[in-house]
Amino acid sequence: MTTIFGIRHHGPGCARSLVKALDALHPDLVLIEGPPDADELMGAVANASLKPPVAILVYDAESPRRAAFYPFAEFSPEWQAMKWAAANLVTMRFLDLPCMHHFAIEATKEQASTAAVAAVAPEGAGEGPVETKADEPGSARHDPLQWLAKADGYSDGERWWNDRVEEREHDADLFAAVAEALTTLRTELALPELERDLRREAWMRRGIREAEKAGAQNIAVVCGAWHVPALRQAVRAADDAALLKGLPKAKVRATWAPWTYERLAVASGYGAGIESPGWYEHLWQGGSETTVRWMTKAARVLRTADVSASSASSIEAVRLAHALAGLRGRPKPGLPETMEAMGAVFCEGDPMVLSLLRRPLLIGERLGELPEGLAQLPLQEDIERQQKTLRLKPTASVTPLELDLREPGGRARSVFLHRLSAVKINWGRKGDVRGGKGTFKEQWSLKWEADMVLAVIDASSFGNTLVAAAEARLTKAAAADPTLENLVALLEHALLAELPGAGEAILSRVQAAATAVDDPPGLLRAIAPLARLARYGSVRQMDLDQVRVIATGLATRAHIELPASVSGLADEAAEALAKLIGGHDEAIRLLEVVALTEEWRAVTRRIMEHGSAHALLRGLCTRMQRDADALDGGEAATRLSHALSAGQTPDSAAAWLDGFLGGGGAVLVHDPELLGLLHGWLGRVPPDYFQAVLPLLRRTFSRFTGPERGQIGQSITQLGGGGGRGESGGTTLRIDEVRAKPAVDMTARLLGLTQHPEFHDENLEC
Amino acid sequence: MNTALRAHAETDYAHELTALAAQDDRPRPPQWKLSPWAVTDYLLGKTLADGTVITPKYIGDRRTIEVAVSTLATDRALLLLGVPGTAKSWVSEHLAAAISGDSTLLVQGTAGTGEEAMRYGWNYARLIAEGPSDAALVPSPIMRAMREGRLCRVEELTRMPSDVQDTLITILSEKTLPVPELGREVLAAKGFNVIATANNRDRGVNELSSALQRRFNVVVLPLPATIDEEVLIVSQRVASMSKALSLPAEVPALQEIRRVVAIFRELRSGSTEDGKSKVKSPSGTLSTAEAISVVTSGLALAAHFGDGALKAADIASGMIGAIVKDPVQDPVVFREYLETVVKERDGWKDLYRACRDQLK
Repeated sequence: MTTIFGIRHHGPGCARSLVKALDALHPDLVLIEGPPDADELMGAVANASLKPPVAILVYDAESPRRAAFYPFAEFSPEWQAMKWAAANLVTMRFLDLPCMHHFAIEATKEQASTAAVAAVAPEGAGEGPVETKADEPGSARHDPLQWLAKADGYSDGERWWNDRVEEREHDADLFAAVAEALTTLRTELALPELERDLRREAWMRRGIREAEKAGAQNIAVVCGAWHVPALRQAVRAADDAALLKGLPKAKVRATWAPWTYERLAVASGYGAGIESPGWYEHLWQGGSETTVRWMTKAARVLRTADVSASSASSIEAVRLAHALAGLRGRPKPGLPETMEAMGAVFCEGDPMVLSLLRRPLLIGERLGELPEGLAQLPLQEDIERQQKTLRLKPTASVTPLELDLREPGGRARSVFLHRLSAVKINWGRKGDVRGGKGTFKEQWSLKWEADMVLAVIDASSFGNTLVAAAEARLTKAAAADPTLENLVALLEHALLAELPGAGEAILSRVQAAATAVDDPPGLLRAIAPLARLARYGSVRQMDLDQVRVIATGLATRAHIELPASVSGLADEAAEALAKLIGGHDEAIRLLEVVALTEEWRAVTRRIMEHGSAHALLRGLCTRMQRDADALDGGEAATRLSHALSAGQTPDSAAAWLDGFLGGGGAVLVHDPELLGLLHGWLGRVPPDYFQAVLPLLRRTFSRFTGPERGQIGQSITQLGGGGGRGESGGTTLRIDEVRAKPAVDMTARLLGLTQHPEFHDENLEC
Repeated sequence: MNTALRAHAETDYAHELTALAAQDDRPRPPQWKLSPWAVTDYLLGKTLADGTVITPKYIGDRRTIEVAVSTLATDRALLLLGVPGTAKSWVSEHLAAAISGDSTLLVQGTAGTGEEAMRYGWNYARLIAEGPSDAALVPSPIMRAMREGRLCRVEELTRMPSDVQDTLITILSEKTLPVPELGREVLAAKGFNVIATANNRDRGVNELSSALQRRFNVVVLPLPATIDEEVLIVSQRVASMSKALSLPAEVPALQEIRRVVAIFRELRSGSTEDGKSKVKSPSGTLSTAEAISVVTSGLALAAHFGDGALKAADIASGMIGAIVKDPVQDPVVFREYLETVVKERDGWKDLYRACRDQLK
């Protein structure tokens, strides 16, 4: 006897009914829709430390990019069937068409159409059996259930299935009803069947026949509801055999992998994904008062986020959910009703607040665990292999690492670490390079943390080798956020990680994004990294002429717009802009385009002379002009004295000085004239004024390095002439020698000094 | 013929309400004229079994209306939020008309709304002559709604001073209104409820106290999701308004409405419909309601001064009036939009010229 149970992947209602049905039937063989390549992995479900969500990963041993994931949650019917069989010591097997055939068929197809998709494989698409499940009931591709749903007065199939199957409390004859409904549906709809589906179903039929022949008395088959009619159909064994004849084979490997609810969700692009794993888990846990407990959970989550969600509100939300369900003619509130009720009662209709619930409640933060020693993902193997060759050992403590990029070993490591961070495995954190401009040294600190395993799994959906995953991930990140700043950062990353494929894909977007930016700060921010790329990119063997063209174009636009946006700025905004201007100055020097350099000089001159520009920026531009030798010493001095003249407010004078000296104090060491001016100004300022500028000046001068300060101090000593000392400069104290003598004598005695005349004279002169 | 400039919803759509009531066999909450299902149908539109066409009053997400109706069915007060011109008052009027058969119990919230508008006032001549008595008491719309078990609408709740808002707390939680002068209270009859509307934008004027806030279920009425939806709203309202205003002009071509709606949407969202270019947004809200008035005023212009057919020039002046709210910035924004977007579009030359000529 063979009993076929049509289920829906990850359906908690199906799972519950299935366990009951298996208990009642007590079969001697359980056949489950899944890849037979992974048959020997099934035994692991008996191990209590294999905790769902987990997935079976089957991949092509030769080209790991071709892979399929079969995820299971606690509430997946397949998982429960495996659990049941393991607990009752009943033989179980997977029944679906093996992946080795899928992969081989795909490989031949790919060879046939040598399309240039090779380098960058988009997530999910074209990756074989990940999409095999997309033709199950309720999927976006067919959604055949919508016909049943419409007949029953529902708007969509997903909702209908949830109401009628997953959320029902009584499961008598559920499977018979499902089988009947789908048989009718499949016959009446007569949708064009996909070749691969026909093949899979033929394989499954043959599997059942063979099991029957082998002497199994009582077989339970667990498969997607869509396949039930096909498996029940009487088809001649010879016809199936003809369909399955001569299938090519590939060499495959299978392994368990920990999974997350996040990846189970539709949002992450998995074909048979479910909208809300958290809700399904809640349903699976069962118990009475589903809605009340769900609402209470939500209220508790919201409270941790400082949203006032009192018990009184929970009560109202439950009432509203019931009323809504009533209005829609549903037996009890489903997920949409509860969420809408929460929106209206807890969140004041604000979708932002409601979205707080997404991760903790709707998706759920559960992640699977594997027992020690269970095999790993191909991506992880790839990473470990490279760790070994590069002699980088993962440790849990922080290890500093300095790389010299001129050596091949150093560069290979740098590339490896950049690739890891491109796929968001943040094992190494890049430190600031000392000196800013040093391009051949990199500082890293390495720390391996436990949750990076998760990052590896996440990354493995982008590709099964590090290069492929990094390329795909960067390309995707560029598509997701095509703002110029992001693209430039990504481009830099692609360059450092030596991923030319991703680099080109991003570059094509940079061009488009560059035209969209129109505020000067945005332009400036984008130019600096582009200029760096254009300058140093060649070291990394990538053609970056285009980058230079884009950077030059952006710079020209920035030069046009900048002078108009330097006035009327608040201090913070001016400071931010000053930083950008400083960076831009460097970028212009890196680009080495003569026309651009001249343009930039003209712009800084305009800002310098711009009366209403923020004083900080005027100071900065004056300094730039001076450093570029566009000012003679005299003009710099004139500007300095103008900026510091009595007509200026203390704030403005100090800000100007900050801009002028912000780059370092060396200018004062080498230009005695400027120093003299400054010195003189400081001596002249009245006490009130001095008090006002003191903190600002202190800030400016404290940025100088110790030696600089020392040198400036010395220069000042010389400046004051032979006797000049201290803050008072060269002014002479008027001292009545006669009256001072007793005091000096006394002091000398106290200090135990004998009087001598030179001492006298020198002191009295100052 | 009705001589009122604008009839109440329950008068205007009386035939629809009667038809719905005749067919409605579902259970009704106490004092409701229609069942919640029929109320939903009344707002969202449907063709009844007997052939009566119920016109849609609200075009948009079905779930929004379902949540609103369910809220009223659970005797919780309903707060409709949204930016200006998203049909808050319109929905509240029709809800009241469908549920209580009467949309006239209305408190308009303004900075000057006093407590007596929410609770009760006195007929002072009588009060002085006879002392506090039932006859001297002037009930507020809310008090009347409580007595009769009907819906009361409170418009622009957040424009009222906070202390006046808070008089609703007792009414909503205890469902009673004490009258200490008479030593009595008015108990709300079954069927009483409150629909309030408030503007998202000036939530800060007099924000609701959290005590009051939690006595409301909040439904946000969004701006129309797609351009087709918005065009449908505008064309429907324009048709019914031009009928009411007896404008002799032809009903405008969908094309013209589509252009107005597209311009409003693009300026509002700050991006062209194809998402290819960014545009600056002017200071006004540019709601659907304003788009409707642009088209109707264009119609009036065409009818009285033109040849009766809506032309680009007729729309342009109304549109400039709606878009240019700030005399300094907005003309710049609109001119930039004209030059960069409208000018380039195929078949929009007439509109471009008309706007440019009038935007001086």
